[in-house]
Amino acid sequence: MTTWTLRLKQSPEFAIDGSSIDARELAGKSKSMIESMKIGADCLGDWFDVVIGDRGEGDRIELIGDLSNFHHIGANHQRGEIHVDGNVGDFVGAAVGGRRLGMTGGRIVVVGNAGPYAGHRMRRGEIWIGGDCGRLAAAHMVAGSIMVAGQVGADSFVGMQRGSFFASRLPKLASGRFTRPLESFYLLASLIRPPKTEVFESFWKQFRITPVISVRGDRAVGGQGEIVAPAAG
Amino acid sequence: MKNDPMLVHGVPIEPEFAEAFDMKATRVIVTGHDRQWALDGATAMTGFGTSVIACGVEIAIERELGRDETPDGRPGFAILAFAVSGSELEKQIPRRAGQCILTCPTSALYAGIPGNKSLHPKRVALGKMIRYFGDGHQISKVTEGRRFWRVPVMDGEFVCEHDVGRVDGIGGGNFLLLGESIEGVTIACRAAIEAMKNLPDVITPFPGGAARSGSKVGSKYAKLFASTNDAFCPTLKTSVDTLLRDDENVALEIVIDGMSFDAIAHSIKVGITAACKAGSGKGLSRVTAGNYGGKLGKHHFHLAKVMQ
Repeated sequence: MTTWTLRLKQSPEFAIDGSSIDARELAGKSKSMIESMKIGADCLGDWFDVVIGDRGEGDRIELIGDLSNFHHIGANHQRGEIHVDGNVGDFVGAAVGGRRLGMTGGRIVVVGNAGPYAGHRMRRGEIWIGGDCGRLAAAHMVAGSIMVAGQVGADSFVGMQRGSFFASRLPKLASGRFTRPLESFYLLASLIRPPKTEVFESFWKQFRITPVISVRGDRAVGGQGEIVAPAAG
Repeated sequence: MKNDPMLVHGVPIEPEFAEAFDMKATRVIVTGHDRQWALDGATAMTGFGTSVIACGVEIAIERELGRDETPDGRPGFAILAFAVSGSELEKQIPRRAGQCILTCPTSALYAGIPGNKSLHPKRVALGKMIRYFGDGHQISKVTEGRRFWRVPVMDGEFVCEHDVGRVDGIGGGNFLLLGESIEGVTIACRAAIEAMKNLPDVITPFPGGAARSGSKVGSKYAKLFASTNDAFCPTLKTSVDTLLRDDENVALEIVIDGMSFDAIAHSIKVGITAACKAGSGKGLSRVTAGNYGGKLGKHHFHLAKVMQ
């Protein structure tokens, strides 16, 4: 299994489609081949220092730096992990353009903040966000899990069909589109291992040990997605 | 002196061998909100599971698991199941999971064979079948390559892993405890089972770990494949070719199914050692093993070798 470490040289002042940063695209390529891969109008090597390494477990892409202007990170993610040591832009793990589905497996970990539309139309897998996420998170989410330790943006969960969204406290929800909150224990949380950093481990501990409150929706689309927060939150 | 039997705590070990067979096996883990619920579920699932002859599977609690050993950190038990065919195992396990674990308050059910489909392509359904009980309200969750189902039930949610790997196992490892009285042989038998009960990768599926109805191949009745092992029946000592001595009136057979030859061999050694220690001087006269002349099962556990 391979680790690709991409360290940002400088933050772009314009938006770049980062969906090509994908393990299947990187697999089997040499450092120079990866550096010459197209990203937006430029090459990957124009923006990132690339290091390729080996590791025991699954494939992993490490992105280091402020990627706030890189959008659609992890749009085609299927397995392994994308770890962002910094912020990401809009549509993390979300469907690109007219495609029906976003990420379909694996895990995306964002230590910082994420822009709007995180997990839009994602199909499977996990997105962990240590900071805040922008508006319309989990919009039209099909399945999978999104965990946000910080604040959740407005208008999130619109059109949510299935899937789970975990927040530190229950966000403000569109009136009438979600069930009333219910309190319960969430056994499944003990089966999900958070990323090994303090922010995620302490965030996730709240779901494993203490009761949670949850709502279901978006009922406007007949959805059964769930939004879960610690009962004490 | 060459043919003198081995002695363990003064009890002779006959130079016989146990004959065992290839089987299909799997392991599941049952957890509960507290130990009692987990035990209740595991006990129900392993009921009527002594022999493949009529139970479909030989199934029993392998051992109790600590909270740090279960997937959800709750009290739990590991269960091993063995069948003569993969299809029988695939029929029995979902049936038992649905009727015994789904119904058990607070329970959850997990795969006990590590590895996904690429490692163990043959799978036994768990939540894959039970999820339909959720009537559309069931929720799937995949994490780290494992799929779990959450089925709404009257105490909350039943969490159940999608399926579990099916592996090769061995059934029919055994040893026989012979003695003058049921009291003496019971002491030895219970000591053996107590010593074996927490060994990994093996189960002793019969009542109390022992069977009194050891069988031989064939019968005078054409439809029966097996019948009573008359050579070890004390009431037939004078009317058949007996393998009991004049002073022996009881024979109990401890039958062992295991995930590997080594696991069964180790458990035989542990069991016989404990039986001889407890039964020596209290009525345990000999230890031997059951076989069919070596013609039916390819796994042979020679007691003299196992006890070295």
